[in-house]
Amino acid sequence: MSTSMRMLSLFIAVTVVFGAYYLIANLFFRTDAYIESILIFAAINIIVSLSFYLPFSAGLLSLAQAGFMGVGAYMSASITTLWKFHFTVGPLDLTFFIALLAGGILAAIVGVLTAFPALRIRGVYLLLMTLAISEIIRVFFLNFEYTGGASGLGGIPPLTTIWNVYVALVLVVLFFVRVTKSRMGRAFESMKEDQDAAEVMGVDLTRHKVVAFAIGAFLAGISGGLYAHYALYIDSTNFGVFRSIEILIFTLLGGYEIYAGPIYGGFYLTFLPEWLRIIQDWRIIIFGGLLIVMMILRPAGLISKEMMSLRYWRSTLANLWKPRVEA
Amino acid sequence: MLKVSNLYAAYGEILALKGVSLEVREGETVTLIGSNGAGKSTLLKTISGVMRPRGGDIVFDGHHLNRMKPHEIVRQGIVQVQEGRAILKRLTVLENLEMGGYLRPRDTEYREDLQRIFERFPILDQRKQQLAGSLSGGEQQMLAIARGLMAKPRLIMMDEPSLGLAPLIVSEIFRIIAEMKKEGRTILLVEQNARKALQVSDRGYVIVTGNIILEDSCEALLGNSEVQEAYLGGRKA
Repeated sequence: MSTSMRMLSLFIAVTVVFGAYYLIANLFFRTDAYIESILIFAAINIIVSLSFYLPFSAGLLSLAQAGFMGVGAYMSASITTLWKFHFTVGPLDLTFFIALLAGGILAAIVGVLTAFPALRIRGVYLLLMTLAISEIIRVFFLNFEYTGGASGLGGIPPLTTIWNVYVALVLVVLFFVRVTKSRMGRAFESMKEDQDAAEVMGVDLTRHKVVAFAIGAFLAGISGGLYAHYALYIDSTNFGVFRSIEILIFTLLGGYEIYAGPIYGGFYLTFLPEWLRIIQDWRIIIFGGLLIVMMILRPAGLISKEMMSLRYWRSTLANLWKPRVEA
Repeated sequence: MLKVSNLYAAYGEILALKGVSLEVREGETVTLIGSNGAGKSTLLKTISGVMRPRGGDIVFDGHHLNRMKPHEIVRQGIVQVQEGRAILKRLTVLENLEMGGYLRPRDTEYREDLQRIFERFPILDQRKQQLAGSLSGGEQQMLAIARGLMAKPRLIMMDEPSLGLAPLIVSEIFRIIAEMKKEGRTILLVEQNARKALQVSDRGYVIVTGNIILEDSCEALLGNSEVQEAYLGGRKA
């Protein structure tokens, strides 16, 4: 292993340990509202990045995730704000849970509708089509007076807390851990690698593409609902193409070989602009610059598949200071 | 077992198969020879469902395959080993083999088959945790064949298995095909290396620009002067 790779691994290990410590410390010993809000946005960004990663892991590049997020946000906010829906079972208030679920399901339905035209096209055309879908959704909400139209939808109750957002994140991550090891995960991987080969091995492409889009859109819808009930005000500009590109960047920088990539990318790229607060308006330039540097130095993103084993970390960290042996 | 009758297929407006009829009986090895662009690969792709036929009929064990999707055809027991190997380079050798048996339950028979594959291809056993892309060309072709076998096919179709391989490896691949034949497998082989292919097969078809022009036993085809002229590099030495 090269020295630069060992240094990168060390960097990742340190940041992961630090991030985990930071998160746990703030979960249990609440410090201030500012840090809490960044942690909440980080979790929302991770969920939506994972929503992008899922179809991507099957070779389907979707820039419609922001649109699906918008569907979830508007749907769940309609339930809690416009319709003033309440649902309790004994001492449990399930209103928010049901609102989120409804947002996710509606987004999944839109995702399935998106998947059908997407069945026949690949690559850059798929990217353009999903971009168009995202814009259609945005412009729909811009003109849909029922949910506020151009003036947006305000007065949403603050139901998202750091606890429920991280519980949701943990559930989503557990889902990915399972899917990756499942037959479906293996089929996705094959489709990404070689769609035609996967097809002649018996993978039902239609079914898997529709499922990938649906689950991806569902997760985006959930993240939208969490976002709406934390931001407390949403309008169509929150869910534009730019959001989709941001989601794409989270995943590309974090790594797109394995679900840990978007988790890492989503977390640290939420914090990065906060740390660079002085140049906040320039953060996209920083992101863009980072993206270019990464594409050259580490085209598959920071986290790679091989890093998912304990053996990798044991051997890397044990050999960290060994001088490089020239063959 | 497999009966193709009057099959038409086209790329856009260009007809690639113009009424092809062909039969493969159980336990038989059949070779399809023809030059570049004659429609050999198109025929395999149409049988495996990757391409939709424009007309004609494909019947496998009494089931019409014409309207079936590729995964349904795999389920019927037809597996295609694609041209250019088409292994999944970023998956390990073992994962590739598992993908071969994608539609099968993970039962004892599956594990026995996997074990048998490793006995037959010891090199794949040694490299099972390696990425498939790191294998040599010949090893990749073996993996492609092994992956096809993992599907427990009743008919295995091989598209140019010797393509781009060194002569020694080509012989090795044909030895494997001969072995599979001896086991009683049903094989439909498409090859440019006509002499070797005819030597391991029972019957052969000659396809020219989308038409089958000749069908005979392999000995007869090897002795046919036109076939020698066109596909076997001149008269027999």
